[in-house]
Amino acid sequence: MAQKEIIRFSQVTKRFGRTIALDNIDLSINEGSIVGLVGANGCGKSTLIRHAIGLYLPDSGTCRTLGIDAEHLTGDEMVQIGYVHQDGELLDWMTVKQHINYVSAYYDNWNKEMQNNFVKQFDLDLKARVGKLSPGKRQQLAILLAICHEPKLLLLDEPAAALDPIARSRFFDLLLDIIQTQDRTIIISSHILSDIEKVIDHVLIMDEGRIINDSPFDELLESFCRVKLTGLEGNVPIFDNVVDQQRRGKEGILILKNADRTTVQNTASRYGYHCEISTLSLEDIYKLIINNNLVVN
Amino acid sequence: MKALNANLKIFYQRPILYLWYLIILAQLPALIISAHDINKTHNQIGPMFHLVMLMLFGLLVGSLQKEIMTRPVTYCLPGHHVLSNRLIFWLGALFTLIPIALLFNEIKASTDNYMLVAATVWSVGMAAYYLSVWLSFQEGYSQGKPCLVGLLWAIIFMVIFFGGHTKLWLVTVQTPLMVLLPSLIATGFSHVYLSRIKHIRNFCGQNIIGMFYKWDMRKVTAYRTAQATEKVRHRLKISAFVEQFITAKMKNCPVWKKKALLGFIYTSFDRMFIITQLDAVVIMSLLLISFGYAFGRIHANIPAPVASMLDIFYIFPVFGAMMHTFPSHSTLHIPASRKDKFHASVASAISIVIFAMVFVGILIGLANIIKPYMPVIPPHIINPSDHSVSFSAPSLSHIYIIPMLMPLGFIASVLFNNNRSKMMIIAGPVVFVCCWFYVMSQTFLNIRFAVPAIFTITWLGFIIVLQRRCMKRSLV
Repeated sequence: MAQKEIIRFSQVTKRFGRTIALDNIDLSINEGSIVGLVGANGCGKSTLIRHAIGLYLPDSGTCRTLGIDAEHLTGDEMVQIGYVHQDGELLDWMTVKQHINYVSAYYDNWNKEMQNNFVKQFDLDLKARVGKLSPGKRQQLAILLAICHEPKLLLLDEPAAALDPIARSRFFDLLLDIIQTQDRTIIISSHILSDIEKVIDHVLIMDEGRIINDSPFDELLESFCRVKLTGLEGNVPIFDNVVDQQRRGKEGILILKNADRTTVQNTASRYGYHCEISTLSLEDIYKLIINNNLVVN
Repeated sequence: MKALNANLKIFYQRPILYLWYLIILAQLPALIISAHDINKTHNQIGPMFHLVMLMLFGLLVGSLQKEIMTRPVTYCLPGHHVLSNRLIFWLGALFTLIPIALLFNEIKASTDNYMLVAATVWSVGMAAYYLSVWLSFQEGYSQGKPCLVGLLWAIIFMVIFFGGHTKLWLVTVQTPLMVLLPSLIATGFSHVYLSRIKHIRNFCGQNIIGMFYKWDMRKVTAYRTAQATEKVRHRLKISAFVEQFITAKMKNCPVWKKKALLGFIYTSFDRMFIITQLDAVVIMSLLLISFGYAFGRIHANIPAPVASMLDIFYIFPVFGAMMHTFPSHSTLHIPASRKDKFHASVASAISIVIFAMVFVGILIGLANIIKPYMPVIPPHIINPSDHSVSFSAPSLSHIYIIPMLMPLGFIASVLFNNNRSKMMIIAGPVVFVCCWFYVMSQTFLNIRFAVPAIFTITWLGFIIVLQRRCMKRSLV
């Protein structure tokens, strides 16, 4: 059965003056996906997310969220969306408790238990003024406000950027709990790729306003491998699709793209070299793609 | 790069400063023209231009150095923080010589002790300069005092109003030492005060708002936030009740539109009450009294056409409206459609107008009540004047000006939401001219239907601009 489409971008272009923030983006995100949005600063991640909730309007193309044009999202649809803004605009003069009360008043399905759990996990002081919170605590409050109404679509724009390692780990643990709900779609943009690779099942890599990779995460991981050859004498054997290689004495490390691992193993054996094949991390793959201008799809 | 080079760069790299230089230099022709009259008339306004010029320069230098001091490198790098204070002194000392050079011939003609008088004029200039430097350091950060720079203009206004400049000039010429010594002490004290390491440390890393980026909304918001969180300690108990009442209403409300309306109005006013509080009451009251006497004085001299100038008091809310941020531009995720945000923005505009009418109405009502009891200032206090000055109050019947003209401010706010500096440079004067035109065109307004027509045009214009922004443009 075909999965339901939650977000659909068709040839979306957005310019800010002379800068092209989004360049002819075509994108489809299905219900239940956990999408990692990865890219350098200013590559268009936040702009893409803001289009999805109708804060930005495209210069050309269309952007549909939850089945309707993002600019026409009504309260009924917006209530199904949770959004953590990169800059985290909050009502700074309120106390944490007052802020939570204010935002929760909008939602009939506000999960008080989840709220209390977050407050406890994040160690939030309910009496503290929002304006006096540290950047990390502000981010935690923003996450709480975006999640506790159990949205169908959760858009997290750099949610862990200001969090310390322990808070970040707690946040991703909580996110893993939230992901258990089958039909929840999450788009998470982050620079800390080692964190998001624990939770995502789909990767979008952006560069200069374009999507240069749109693939399931497992597929992306499978398409690259690191081959460590030891006992090298003379030249390194010739493999197809070598993206990168390094050699130190009798040891060589090759990065291969779309390589058949059995063939690689057999070729290495034929030359009498010891061969270890391992998977790359998302961070390594991202660097490879960007540094070598690789377009994966 | 040397510390001095780094420090001086700010003086020529920031475009808005050139406008300030123009304003400061604009005092020079006035000073030159009025300098010749020093010994001829009793109204020695020339030296006042000298003081105004130095005060403006002091504000400029003080604000820039305050900004530099907030940078952690200024505190951390050797020699940097000392440099700021040295620069404040030397810039003031040198700049003060310019008006003295222009006034020198007149000083020479006034007295035999002209060198001593020139030194006195210099030291008075330095004292005025340091006063404005000090004031600029006291304002614009979270623990700072709001509107102190405004106090400077109030001082200038009061000095001129009561002829203090003439008296000061006469004392300076006749008994220079009596002026020289206190002004030198004040200058020395200010220099030592500003050089204290405690004072410099106080500004390191502060979230400030300088005079030259008052319209940078990110900085303004950060500053207001810092101020609001400071002031929030004095939050009224009533706001807790309002919070409970509104959030309960919102929870029970089945319609999104109403929820959004209630929520946005609640947040607009909740913040406004914390930020404005007593400051606005005090400032508006002071303005009302100042304008009351100032226009009373003008009225005494030129009765008929400027009587309506008191209506200018009704124009201040228009400038408040220019700084209003509409709910449509909030990035806090609230389940509200663009249409809901548009409606909430209209509701917020109407609420602000009603609030302004009530607020200003109460002040003007009180001014009218106290008018018969306000003392008449006899002629000998005000120099030069042949008339006594009585207090005037604007007519409460003209309060319709507020709802009629405030949409002009809202239009500017919507159009220039992301660029307030451009708004103050372009839209500010346009709005001011429109308002001024209104004040000066009472005859036009006597035409039947003129007021309803303007009323309709301004509100319709605002609704169209807001609707276009909310429905057809990016919101952040």
